[in-house]
Amino acid sequence: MQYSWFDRHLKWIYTLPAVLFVLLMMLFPIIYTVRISFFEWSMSATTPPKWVGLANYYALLQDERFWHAVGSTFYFTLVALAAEVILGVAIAMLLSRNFIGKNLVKTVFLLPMVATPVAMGLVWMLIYEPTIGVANMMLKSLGFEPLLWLASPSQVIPSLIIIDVWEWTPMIALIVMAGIATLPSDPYEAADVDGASAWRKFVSITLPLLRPTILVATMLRLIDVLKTFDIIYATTQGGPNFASETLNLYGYVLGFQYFKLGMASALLVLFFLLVMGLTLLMIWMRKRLEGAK
Amino acid sequence: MRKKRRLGVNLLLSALTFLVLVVFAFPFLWMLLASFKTQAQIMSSDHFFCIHGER
Repeated sequence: MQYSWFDRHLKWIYTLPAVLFVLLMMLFPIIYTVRISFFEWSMSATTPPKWVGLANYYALLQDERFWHAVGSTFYFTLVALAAEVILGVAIAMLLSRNFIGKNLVKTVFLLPMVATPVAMGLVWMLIYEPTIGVANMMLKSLGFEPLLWLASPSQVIPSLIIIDVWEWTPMIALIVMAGIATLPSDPYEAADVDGASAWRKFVSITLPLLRPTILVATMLRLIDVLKTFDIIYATTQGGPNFASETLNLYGYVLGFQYFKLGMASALLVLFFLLVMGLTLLMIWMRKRLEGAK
Repeated sequence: MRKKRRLGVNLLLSALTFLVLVVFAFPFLWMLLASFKTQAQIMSSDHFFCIHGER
């Protein structure tokens, strides 16, 4: 039996649209950014890009503001991620019980996740306002000193972390709740027979069984927290005095305010490698944990 | 005794759930209230949570 050319190459023909899409929409921007990072270019139509080799990378590594942005990015990411995972798991446990109005509570709880980040950033800006904001009004009513929140270089990142935790803890909780719903009942029945306490069941059964789910949720959030831009840009734009300037924001400033496209691209290449490295580390950790089971 | 303890735990968990609900809904409540107020009323933190506006 003779097969036509079409039949023989069917698997390639069917996958071609997806391959072309990936090449055009994902690989091309990455390759273009890497290429631009070796040039000096100010987006001018009259001055063509000038080849500078690794000079942009060298300049970046000598730049104090870059290292400050690296520090701010890690500070923001690590604290926000830890808080979101701990709170997300705790809230998922809380909302997985049966109680009256459970669906209403779950709906309200998931609202921050679906709200527009820029709009919520503006709402939080007014909540944090040092003179008329509700945050200080509450602190004063509880007998505490008012804070400067977003206006203070030392308080700005914790304030932004609170916004991020408020907005994205529901996502972690939602994933963990889905994980809890799939847990088998047998281990709990056996634990009940043995007279195990609720805490013992949580530590010895729920947490180990939920570990793969929590790791996936953590990985997804890690990638997203590292890249946070909208909330920071809407509330502080990296200020005061660059205190909340993360790598993503510094890249934007370099590219679209200072028009140093080459340096901005170099920063984004390094940032891309960092995000990819951390993601691969998480995948490796997950595989290792699965292998250890 | 065990029944009483379970009731206490349930009450505590319900209170915690309510607290979580209030914290996560608060910015939306604030946004909703602000949408019914004038610029001056929003800027006056003392009267922000009054339903009737200025007293």
